[in-house]
Amino acid sequence: MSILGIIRRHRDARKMSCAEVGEVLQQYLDGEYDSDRAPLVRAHLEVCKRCGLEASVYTDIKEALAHQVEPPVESRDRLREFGERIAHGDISADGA
Amino acid sequence: MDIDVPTSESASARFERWVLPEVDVLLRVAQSITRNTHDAEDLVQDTMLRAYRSIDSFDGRYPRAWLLTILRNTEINRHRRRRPSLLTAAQQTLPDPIADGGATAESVVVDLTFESAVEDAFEHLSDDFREVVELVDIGGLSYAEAAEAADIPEGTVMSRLHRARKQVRTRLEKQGYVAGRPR
Ligand SMILES: [Zn+2]
Repeated sequence: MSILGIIRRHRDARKMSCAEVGEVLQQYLDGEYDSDRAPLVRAHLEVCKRCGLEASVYTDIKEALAHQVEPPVESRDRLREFGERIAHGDISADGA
Repeated sequence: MDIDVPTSESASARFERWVLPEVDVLLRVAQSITRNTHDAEDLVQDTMLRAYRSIDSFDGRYPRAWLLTILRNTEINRHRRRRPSLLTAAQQTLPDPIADGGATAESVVVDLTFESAVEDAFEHLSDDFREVVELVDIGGLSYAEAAEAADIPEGTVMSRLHRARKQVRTRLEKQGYVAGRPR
């Protein structure tokens, strides 16, 4: 990044306070912060160590929650096949 | 959302379009709810059958949310079994990361410890909080879809979800898995 780019990023990072970033942090990490301030949040997280750490904690938690249940491949395959059979009329809707 | 569905489309075609692509998500959420591979599979089967039966009345909006609503109702109607212990569930579901990739044994242990601590914290959430975490973090729904699935306002999804994760975070902090919030 150019010097100018770095300066701009630091300037953007200061446009929101840590408290303001904290308020929208989870929404931002969920990809649900639909605001023109989103680039300011990104700049702040890149520059501010405290908030950057906070963001990585929530990212880790979110990922661990998502990993929490990794169903066996065989279950998945059986269910896909079951679904195909329903779609093709091989299984009646009452399960018989 | 504008969805163009030919009215003549068969139930099979509708089922293929909306239900089949969601099997993985349904299974993941079912596994989280039942904590048991066998029950999860049963639950998804029942969910698919119910979905097929009501597919003609489904308007095509938010198929994933629609399916997760069916799944939850199906689970409520099923005989509720006592959840087996966390450890058993973890043993059943955790893949073997060493066999799967090049991770060192040490990093795997650290990850597993962190992940089981998160899992434990998740277990301590209230039902309302766990529901939104299941829908968003495990099921991969957007806030809007989760609101639809849980039949609560989007603002409620957001506040419950954020508070739930904060609780998880606080618990991890107390147990020393993450550093305290810097001041
Ligand atoms: Zn900050």
